[in-house]
Order: sequence, then structure tokens, then C-alpha cells
Amino acid sequence: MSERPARTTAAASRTERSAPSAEGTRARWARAYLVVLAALALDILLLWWLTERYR
Amino acid sequence: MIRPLDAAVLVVALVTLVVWGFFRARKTRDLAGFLVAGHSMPWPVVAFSVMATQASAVTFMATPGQGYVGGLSFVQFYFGLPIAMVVLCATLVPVFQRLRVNTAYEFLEARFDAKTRTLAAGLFLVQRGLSAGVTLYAPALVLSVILGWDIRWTCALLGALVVVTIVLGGSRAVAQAHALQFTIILGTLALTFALVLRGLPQGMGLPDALVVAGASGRLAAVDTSFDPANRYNLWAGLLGGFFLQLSYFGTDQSQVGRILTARSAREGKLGLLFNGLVKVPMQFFILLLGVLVFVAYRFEPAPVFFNPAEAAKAAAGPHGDAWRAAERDWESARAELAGALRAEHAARHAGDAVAQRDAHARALAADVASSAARARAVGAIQATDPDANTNDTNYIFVRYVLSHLPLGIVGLVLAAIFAAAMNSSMSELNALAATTTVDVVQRLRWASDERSLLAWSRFATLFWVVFAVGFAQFAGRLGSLVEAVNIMGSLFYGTILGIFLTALFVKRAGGHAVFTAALLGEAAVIACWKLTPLSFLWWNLIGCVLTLGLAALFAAFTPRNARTGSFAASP
Repeated sequence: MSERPARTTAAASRTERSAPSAEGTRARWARAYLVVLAALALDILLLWWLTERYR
Repeated sequence: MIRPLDAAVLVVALVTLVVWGFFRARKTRDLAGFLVAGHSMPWPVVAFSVMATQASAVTFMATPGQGYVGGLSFVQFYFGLPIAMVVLCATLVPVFQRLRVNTAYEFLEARFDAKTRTLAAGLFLVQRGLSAGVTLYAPALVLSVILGWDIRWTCALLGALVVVTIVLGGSRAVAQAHALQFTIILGTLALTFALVLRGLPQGMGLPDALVVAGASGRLAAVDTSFDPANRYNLWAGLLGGFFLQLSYFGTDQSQVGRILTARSAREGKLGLLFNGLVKVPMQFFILLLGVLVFVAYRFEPAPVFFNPAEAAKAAAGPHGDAWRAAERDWESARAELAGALRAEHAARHAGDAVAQRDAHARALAADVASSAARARAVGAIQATDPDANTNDTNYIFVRYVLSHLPLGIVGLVLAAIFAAAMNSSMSELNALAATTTVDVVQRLRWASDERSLLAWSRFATLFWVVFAVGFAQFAGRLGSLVEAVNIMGSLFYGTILGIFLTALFVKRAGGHAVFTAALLGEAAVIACWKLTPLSFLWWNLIGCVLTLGLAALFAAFTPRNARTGSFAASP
């Protein structure tokens, strides 16, 4: 009898732990945007290096 | 003409593409399924579909040609794209997905009013309707010249392939076909890259090829000087390119329609971010392919003019003697150039600085002589036909492929070009059909039930295909219109983007304010086009900033009760 509520509570806390908070989601997307912008900066730097190297 | 095995590869590849798209989408029975694939696609399909839509056949043929002629500088055009992808992911994509719209312009009625939606949809239909014809015409022309087929046949073949795929399968078929087509295109480009590298002279690898290319200025990828009239520099790419890409991906239904196929905002955003990550490196490699073709042709005979139809016309025309004399001088100068470059390469490896300097001077002199001979050949073409197209950039890569790549691979490359032509045409035509059905037919209540709207969508697709094929037949006689239609996008994109950004960021602005601001912004862009030498990339920025700024200004002076639209956007 007492197992069912215990399982429900455990499941609920698991759900709480696994459900991403709005803030966490925003932070993850912000990191993804930073990766894309950093990749662009790296691309431009490499292309600039290529330009100077073979000028 | 192509060889039988290449023709067989071409036919098999084209049939596979159409059948694949059709069978993956044969269950399309509802309007949302037809227009936006039922908002059901995972992010890799969205990413490939977005990229395939942007990479038209002209891009596929012209980008290596651009690398051959102008080197890597064109890559700067794409610097604004990753930034635009990030901004779109943070603003418009979540709004589009939350509203579950089928076209970008539905959002404008929800936010402002019917007239603003009609203005944006109308601008899109005019601009895309005309460019759909050119999207079909440009590759059809190159393929007709290269394959020796009549332009009407290549146009009709492209139109038929597109019809079969999208009238029957709709947007779902477009997305599925894009994924396969783009994989074929990328695979073919990678294979061609390896084969071009292998085709370089004995003992010459990529580092040596880069030295030869760099000596001719072909590796100047980044230009940090600021010149508003210069189309390709760092600042034009970052600023002008950003606004152009933001408008194209955020407000042009041919791209918004691809993003709307995503099953959720997350999948749509991942698709766009993937595009932002790989676009610049991908364009770099396609341009580098053109640079390698340039290096390969430095060591072997190259045609003085790459468009065989114009060359044959000049040779057979009244200025045939001048043409042949120019061709002879070109061949001897290029032979001298190849010899000098080989000597320079050998001297560099032997560490003989004096011999290297001497060979370099000979190469420079031969280069100048060959450029002069080519200028005379182009003069003969113009003298033969004043309306002749003297830009042969689009033919360079295809000519190299036809004369250098092995049997079977040529057919594969031609299939990839056809696939690229279908890619952008399918997205354009699907977007035109969606806008016609949702923003005209449904908006004016000519039909309301699902079945009739689906029938209207198929009919609208067919109408726009026939319109595009018909306009493509006519486009050949209009010459400079091809270029005019290419810059037409920039005439309208800035204003349309300004409307969308006002919707998101100027919450006080209503329909009247944004409508008036858009008309004034558009007038300013047209004034820039007609009265200033400003490069077209900057028009996007001007149209957008003016529309946004004026809408904010008008909103500040408009009484609250005069504002229309009640939708509050929260990006």
C-alpha cells in the first residue's frame, strides 16, 4: 500500500530533475549561439591568415 | 554532347531524386502537409532543406567560376549569415512556431492588420514570381549550351521534374528531395575537389597550388578596407550581408516555408544554427575548388572564352579573323605562361632564387599578354553581336568537368547541377503556392474547407510552374533583366524585414504606422538604387532601419486608440 505513493513521489522528483527549467533552456541556447558566433570569428581569422600568408 | 554512360547516370539520378521525394511524401492529404510538411521534420532535414534552397544551380556553377575569376573574396558575402541565424533563432523562429502559421505573412495580420499582411505578401509574390522564371532560365541556358540541347527542352525538363515532385508531394516531398539532393551535391563537390587536385601537374600538391593561386591574387579572402561601392569586403559582408540574410531567411516565404516544416521551434533553431556553422566553410571550399581549376588551367591549354556558343558565333561571324588571331595569341601566351610557371616551381624547390625570379618575371609578362589576347577575343564577340553575354563565369566549371572528369562522374556532376536547379525552384514554387493559397485564396474566402484549399494549393503550384517556365522562355530576350531580377530581392528585403522587426520590437506600433513607414522606407531604397552608386547589399540595411525607425517615430505620435492590431509578440 505504501509503495505506490513512494514511487509516485520518486517519479515526480525525477521529472522535476529532468524537466529543463526556462532559465536552463535559455542558457543552453545562449551557449549554442556563442558557439556559432565563435566559429564565425575563427573562420574570419583563418581566412585573414590565408590572405596574409599568400599575399 | 555527353557520352552514353554519363547520360545514363544523369537519367538514373534524376529519376531516383523525383521518385524518392514522391514516395517519401505520398501520404500528403492535408493543407499543412502540402504547404509546410505538417510541421513534422527533424532538424537535419530542415538544415539540408534550408541550405539546398539557398544553393541554386547558378550558385553551384557560378561559385567555382567566381573562385576562378575573382578568387576567394566572394566568401565575405556570407559573413553576416551566422549572425543572422542566431538573431532569427532568438526572435522570429519561436514566434512562427508558437503561432503555427503556414506563411510568414499570416503573422503580420495577427500583429498589425490585413493591409500590412497584403503589402508584404504582394511584394513577395511580385519579386519571387519573376525570379522563379530566372531561377529556371539561368541553369537551363547553361545546360542547353553545354549539352547542345534546345533551351526550351532544358527549361521544360526542369519544370517537369519540379512539377512531378511538388504538385504530387508538396512541401514534404520538397524537404525529403532536398535532403537527398544536397547530399548528392556535397558528395559530388568533394569528389570533384579530389579529382581536380589529382589533375594538377606532376609533383604539385595543394601547398604549391596555393602559392601559384596566391601569386595571382586568388587567395585574398578578407579585405578590411571600407568602400561602400565595393560589394565584397569585410564590412559589407558583416553588415549588409547580415541584413540581407536576415531578410532572406526571416521574411522570404521560400526560406520561412522550409523553417516552418520543423516539428518544433527547437528543431527549426537547430537547423538554422547548423546552417550558420557550415555555410562559410562550405562556400570557402566551393570557391577554393574554382581557385584549383584556375591553377590547373595555368599549366594546360584553356579556352580563350568558356561559353562555346558565343565562341562559335564569333569564329563564324564577320570578325572571325580577329577572333582567330586573338585565339592564336592567347594559346601561345598561355603556353609560355605554363612553361614559366613550371620553371618557377622547379626553381623554388631547388632553392635557386635567381632562376625563380627570372621565371616569375616571364610568367607575369605571359599573363599580361594572355589577358590582352582575351580582351581582343571578347571584343570580337561584342563586335559580332553587341547583345552577346561576355560574362563566361558560369561556364568555366562545367567546361572543366566535361573535359577532365572520368566517365560516369560527369553524369553525376550534371545530375547535381539539375538537382541544385530543382532545389531552389521547388522551394520558390512551393512558397509562391503557399502564399497564394493562404494569403490570397483563404484570406479572400474563395475557399475555406481543407479539401478545396489543398486543390487550390496544387493548382497554384501548377500555375506558378507554368508562369516560371513561360517567363524563362521570355527571359532570354531581356538580357540585363536577369541581373535586374537578381538585385530585385535587395530592393524589397530591407523593407519587409523592417516590418517584421517592428512587429517584434516596437510594441506600440500599429498597422497604420508600419504601413506608412514601409512605403517611405521602400521609396528611400528605390532612391538609393536610382540616384546613388551604393552597392545593393546596403539597400537592405537602409530599407530595414528606415522602416523600423519611422514606424517607431509614427507610433510615438499616434494616439493609442488609432493603433490597430492586438497581438503582443514576445520574442
